Amino acid sequence: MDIISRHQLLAISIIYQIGTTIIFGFAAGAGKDSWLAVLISTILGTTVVSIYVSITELNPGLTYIECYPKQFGKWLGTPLAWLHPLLFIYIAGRIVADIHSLVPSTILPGTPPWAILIVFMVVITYGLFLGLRTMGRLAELMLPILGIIFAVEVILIISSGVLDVDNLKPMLDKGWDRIWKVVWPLGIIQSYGESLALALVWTSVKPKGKVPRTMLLSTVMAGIFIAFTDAMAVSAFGEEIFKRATYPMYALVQAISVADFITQLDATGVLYFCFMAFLKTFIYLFATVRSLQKLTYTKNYRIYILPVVIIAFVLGLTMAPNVIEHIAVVEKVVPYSPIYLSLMLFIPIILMLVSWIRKKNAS
Amino acid sequence: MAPNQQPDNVAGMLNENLNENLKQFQAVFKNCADIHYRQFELKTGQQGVLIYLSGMVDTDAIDLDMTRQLIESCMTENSTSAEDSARLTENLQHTIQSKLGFTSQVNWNDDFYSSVEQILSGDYALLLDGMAQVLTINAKGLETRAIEEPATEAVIRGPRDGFQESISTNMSLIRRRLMTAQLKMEMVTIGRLTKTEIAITYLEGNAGEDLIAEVKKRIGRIQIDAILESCNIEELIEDNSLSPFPQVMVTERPDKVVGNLLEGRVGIIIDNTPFVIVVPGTFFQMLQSPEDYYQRYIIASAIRLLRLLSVVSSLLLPSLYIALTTYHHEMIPTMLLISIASSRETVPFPAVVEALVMEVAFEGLREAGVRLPRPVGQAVSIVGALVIGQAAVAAGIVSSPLVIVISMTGIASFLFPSFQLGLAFRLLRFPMMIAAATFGLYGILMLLLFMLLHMLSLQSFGTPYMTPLAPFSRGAIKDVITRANRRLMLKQGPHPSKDRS
Repeated sequence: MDIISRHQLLAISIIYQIGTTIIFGFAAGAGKDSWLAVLISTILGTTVVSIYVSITELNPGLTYIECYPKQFGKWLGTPLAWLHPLLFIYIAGRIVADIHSLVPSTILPGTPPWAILIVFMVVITYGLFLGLRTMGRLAELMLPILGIIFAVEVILIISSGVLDVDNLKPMLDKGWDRIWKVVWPLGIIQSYGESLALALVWTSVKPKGKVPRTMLLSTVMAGIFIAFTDAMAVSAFGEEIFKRATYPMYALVQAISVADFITQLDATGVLYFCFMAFLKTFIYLFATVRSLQKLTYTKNYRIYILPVVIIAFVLGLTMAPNVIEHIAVVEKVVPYSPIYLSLMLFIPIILMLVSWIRKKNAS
Repeated sequence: MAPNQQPDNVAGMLNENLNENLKQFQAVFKNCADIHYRQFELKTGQQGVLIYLSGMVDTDAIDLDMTRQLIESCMTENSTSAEDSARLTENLQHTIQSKLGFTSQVNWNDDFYSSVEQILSGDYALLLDGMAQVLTINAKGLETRAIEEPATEAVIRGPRDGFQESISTNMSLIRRRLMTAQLKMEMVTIGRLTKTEIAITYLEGNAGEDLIAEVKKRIGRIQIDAILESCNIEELIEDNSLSPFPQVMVTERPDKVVGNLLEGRVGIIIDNTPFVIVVPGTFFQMLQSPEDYYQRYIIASAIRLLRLLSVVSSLLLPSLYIALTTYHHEMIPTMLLISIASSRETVPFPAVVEALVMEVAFEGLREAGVRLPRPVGQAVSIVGALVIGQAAVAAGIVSSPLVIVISMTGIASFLFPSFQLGLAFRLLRFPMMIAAATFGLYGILMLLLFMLLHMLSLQSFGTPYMTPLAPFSRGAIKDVITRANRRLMLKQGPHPSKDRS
């Protein structure tokens, strides 16, 4: 039943890959050259995404999770496959923690965070029960709306007169070092490595065969979008503030001031972020539920929805004691952890090679 | 008629004795003041009776004297023998059919209960002594009102005829716009007591086979005593009965029905109501007025954009006001904030209470205006305008910006071409206000997402509710948010698109 069209996959992937960077910024460590770092990450990111795509292409009819037991055998493949739902639910918890830290501190100071999260989780649960098809339609409907809002925002930022292109110059004055530092591994893992969860969506796409092109298109478009916003943020604030700001993109929206009439639009920025986080959490939890279903050979995936949502809720509520620690972990600890790197990069490469060799031998 | 409702003295069989037959009819139609028995005698001395319901038949169509002469002309001199009687039945039917012209349908009924049903549906029944059969002559002559402009869907430019209560008139209003044999109208009778006639109408070739089959299947499985209005049918055939959104389109306008038939939809005409159902109903179809196609396309596009804006504001305006004044003051420009704050100074309630009270009062006022007789209705609107508009502000119960917001919301909600869809949005406004009061803009976003998810998951007869926007359909998109020029739309294929995710 859960069939989505190519157009819907494109919408989901673009929103998913832009995701929470819309507010946290991306590759801030590279300072004024961050936009360049984003573009380089994008190029490397497309290779990562194409590895995932080619794995599912080499194992037709199987979801990404099922490829492990098939190619690596029962004893090695199954435990490896089981790591994935755990990874997905952990990242979902991270995004819920984003909401936990951002919304109360910006637009709803007096409201208890758990209440905010419960509302968030209720809508996600409803979405999970309705299934991927409805979410595909939602993404398809929202993408043009988000595009229009973003275009209006850009016009407003430009007309506020806060942009100064000189802030972007000189290029590469501190050399390539700091660019590589953010590109590897953070730039590749963030957004692009996380596309791993999308791999569980691909089997639902009809007509088949268009997935690789769609994914490459969305990856490139998301990369260009992020690079553009990064460049805009740097030219608005200059390198130092951009690097230090917790939410650089949020600050960018805050900077809008046209004729003293349109001011303080920060709440809309948060809403933007909430929607992105909503879709991203949905995809992660969907991937979790789908993997659990495949790994336990259950017919009805719905029985996993409530437990998974509750775990993600508790994770998001308890994961980080404060915003600073939360962001520090996301940027400095998680990308370097061996589990992340191996599940998102090394093991997929091996899996791809094994699948490829087996296919070659078979034919 | 169900067996348990048969009077005891009715055998349910016709025999050759006129008096016995008549007694049976009289027993069935006991205490029915509108049944008429007209007895007559032929010049041979043979007795006969005409039975009909007054008001249901056209009394000009059949004249008693004429009928008598007709029968007599078919008889030979001494017609008491059995062979003559058999020949008479043959002749009679033939003669009546040819003499009364093509308007009347003439039938011989052997069965008592089927002739009772024929009488109930507006036929004359003719009984003759010595015949174990009943001749029924169709001469339906129901009282109808004239064709008038539809009250709920007026247009500036466009045809002014609207459906009325008689199904045959309604069918003709459609037929005369589509003079093609492709236009099919299949009759079904539903309702154990009301025996309501229902016509399923579609354009063969334009409407999908499976859609037609699905409509017939859903209508066929209806088991009900009475159908009084199209809503009875609507509730029995719609996909999701828990949704506040209407999933079939209801209209009083023949041109709207024809337009939808051309797009491949199926119409359901129901006797005794001017409202015709069109399925599948989609959201954007219900946001279209036939006038969009009768005005120049640039103007029509602008009106559609205005309508879309009003849809959004009828849902969100009060809740945005609540959210902004309660949680996000900083988003309001300073000067405006000052003026809002100064007018709210004397108001003792939080914004949400103020807005809820005003909204309820407004909805009550509107409902009162619908129900009350015209002259009183005006008095209500004056009282409403004075009390709600002026006195409430002067007394410091509500603030004047809120009155503006409520009245703008009211105006916006009048722009819905489909009253049913407008009702859904009127209802959803209230949870939206509560969400805004508890979680501000975040609450509005979350409830909006919830609502959108629901709307996107709805299906009406296999067609997604939000098509062609989501799922996206490139061909049909020209006629959704705006309207493209006719020349661009000529190539548009049959819509609604099926089998899309």
